[in-house]
Amino acid sequence: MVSWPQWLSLVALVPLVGAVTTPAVSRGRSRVAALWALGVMTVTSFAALMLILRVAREGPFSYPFGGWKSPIGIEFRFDEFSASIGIVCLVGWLAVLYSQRYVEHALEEPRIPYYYTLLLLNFTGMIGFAVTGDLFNLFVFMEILSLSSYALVAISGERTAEMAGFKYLIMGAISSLMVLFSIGLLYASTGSLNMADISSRIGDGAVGPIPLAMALAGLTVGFMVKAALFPLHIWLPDAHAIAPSPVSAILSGLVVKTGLIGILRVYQIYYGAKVLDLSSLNTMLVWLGAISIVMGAFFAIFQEDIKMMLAYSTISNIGYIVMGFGLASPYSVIGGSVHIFNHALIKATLFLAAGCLIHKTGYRTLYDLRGVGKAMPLTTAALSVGAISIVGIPPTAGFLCKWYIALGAFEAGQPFFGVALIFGALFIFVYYIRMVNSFYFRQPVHPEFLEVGEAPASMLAPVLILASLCLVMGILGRIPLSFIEPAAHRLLAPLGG
Amino acid sequence: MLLALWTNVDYVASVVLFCIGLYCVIAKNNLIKKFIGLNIMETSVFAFIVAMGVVEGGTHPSWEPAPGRRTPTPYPRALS
Amino acid sequence: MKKALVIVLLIVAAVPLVAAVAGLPPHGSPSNPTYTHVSAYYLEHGAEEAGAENIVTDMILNYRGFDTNGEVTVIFTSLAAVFGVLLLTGAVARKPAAPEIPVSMVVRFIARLLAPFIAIFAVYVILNGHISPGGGFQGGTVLGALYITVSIVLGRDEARRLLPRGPKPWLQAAGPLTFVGVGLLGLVLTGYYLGFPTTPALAWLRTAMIVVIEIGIGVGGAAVLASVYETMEAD
Repeated sequence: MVSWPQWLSLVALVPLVGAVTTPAVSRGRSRVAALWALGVMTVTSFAALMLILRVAREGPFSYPFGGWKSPIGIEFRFDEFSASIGIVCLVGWLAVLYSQRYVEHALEEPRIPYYYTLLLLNFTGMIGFAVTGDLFNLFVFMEILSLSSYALVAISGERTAEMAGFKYLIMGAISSLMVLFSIGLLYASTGSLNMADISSRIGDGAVGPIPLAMALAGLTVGFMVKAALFPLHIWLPDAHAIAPSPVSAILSGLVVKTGLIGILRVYQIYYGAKVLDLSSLNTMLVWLGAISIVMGAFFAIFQEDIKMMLAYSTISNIGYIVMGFGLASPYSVIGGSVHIFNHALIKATLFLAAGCLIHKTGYRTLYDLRGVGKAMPLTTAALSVGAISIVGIPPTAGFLCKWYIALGAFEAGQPFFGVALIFGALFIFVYYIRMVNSFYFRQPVHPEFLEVGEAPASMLAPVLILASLCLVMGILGRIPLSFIEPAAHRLLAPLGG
Repeated sequence: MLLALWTNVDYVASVVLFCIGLYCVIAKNNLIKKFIGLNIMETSVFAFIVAMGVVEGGTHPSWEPAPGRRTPTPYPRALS
Repeated sequence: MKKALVIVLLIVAAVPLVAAVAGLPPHGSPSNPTYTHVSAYYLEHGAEEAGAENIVTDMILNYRGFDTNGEVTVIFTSLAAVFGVLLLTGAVARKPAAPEIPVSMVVRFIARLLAPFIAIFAVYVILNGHISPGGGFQGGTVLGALYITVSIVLGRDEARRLLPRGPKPWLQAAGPLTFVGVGLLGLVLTGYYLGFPTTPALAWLRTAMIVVIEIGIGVGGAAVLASVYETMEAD
């Protein structure tokens, strides 16, 4: 029996080893590569489940690599926010399952093993990013994650995909370098790279405030690019809409969230140190969040392409989460953190279902897809469940988090943002209604696809599982909320909240 | 302030390089030039990180033990 | 107009950055936290307890070995990215036989003459990483450059023999795989992933583990460099 803390190193190492051995094991056979990736994700999910159960029972714990104590070596630190690896494993597992049939048609044969390699590396990056307690290690995992994401966007090899990938690469590389520069500033002022150690050392007050403020700014802006918050979102719609659908689900549901986890980590360093007054940063984040919600929804209304619409909707939802963090009241932080989880579920449902539609019919605009509800009733039903959840209508997953964020806005004494949030939800309602309307109640423009039938089972099953989870999480929504609560209180404790 | 700038002129140089790179990435339309800009930015960050390890009168950390060696920590950062 | 705007933006970004670096502890002073905090520990204890005389090697492979493990994976990721974006069905077959540009006799002769020396130098750099500056990354780059030279001067087919198809995917993943292998050995020996035995009696094993990692990084780095070159050339 592997002892408890070892699971923490395994959870990042299993997908890493799985990824690097995929081409060697599969030798170009795409079926083998798919099964291998699925097996690797199963083991990883098991390790992640163990860790989450443990953190729920005993609170945060850490794992020192090589047995070196924390400022000297690297440590992994698993807290409640790190539990987001659970959703990485869940959505990742389903996306791998879904990919098997999808990529057969969408990709060139020799690329398929490398597609799975890149997917697994992507998961490695996300998992490592969420569990590491060391700033430079965070950067290393961010690089694995970003590099594999750029490649996954461009993997179909079409000209538009390559351009979208390149745009993503330019934005992503600038943001990575900003983050690295800021890590350098922090290292130069404290001599340490361990997050907890940095936090206590800058709390001593021996370090000038200007480098710290600049490092904070650099880290926040860098992670904001990764999270695609409003003024820095320009790479997102193209990259997410053009990538293969399972990749879109991962990018939109999971990868942008790493930017948010990064912002949370930065908060953990700075709140604990109590050297800078973060209220102006928080105000800025709340405003940017509110603008993101409205602008994302506004642009989404005018989209004809279904995946483009979903991509813009991601920007709105990132806005919700960032607003939740920025309000810095217990309710809003809890709501924001849980929305990381729920939005991943919902957005994965939507993108995978949209992928089924595109895969079977070959069309991707709302106009062309009119009346598809009769041809593929299950997929369209899943899509509608996702749409209802993302708007935040009560019995579904999206409702509770948005409710908590709105509560937080009132709690923080800024009811204006609560109103903005509800206004944004109305906007979002409009375009999802438009989508559902055209799928169910309009005459089909291309009647020939009425005969195509549902997607194959390995594609349909993930969609249905995710859609039912959207409903279940609406009913059991209290579990993640109470799970994340201690972490949110610990984060905000230095503020006296 | 000016004195601080002068003692840390190595860091300032890397900031200047960083901004030159950023300018290339944002202002140039040619993709190759954008890439070169990214490379300049990257190099500037590495220069910054390596410069942090300098100690006056130090020697390379891998050589025989001697007082006042340069710090080894920043070097590997540049490997990325 | 756009340029002026960008320059204004850059100045707005640069001023606080310059202010920030001016506010850092003075450059080069021995009282810097970069020198006194964690690094001081490495300098003091590195040579005794970490297994390599070169403190830089101690630090990248032992104290902060997991970062390097990730770094090696980044290199592999770039390989996977290049393959994922560039590989085509039957690319080599489809490509018309490129008109061979004849390489001068002198160049061919010199390349053949120097190749063994370059290879020996690369191996020397890899194996000496724990004593002197150098190591897997640097030596691997030299090996990769050797492959590229052979491929250009002596032809693609000659170079392919150096990197046989059978073990190729394993060689490409050699860096992360040896790292994980040694890490798991450490797990068995000390109870921590990438743990190195600390007892003086096992000092040889410590050094051996570091050398094995260096070799893995070197071989993997060279294989990645060579295959990326090969793929890009075929494109």
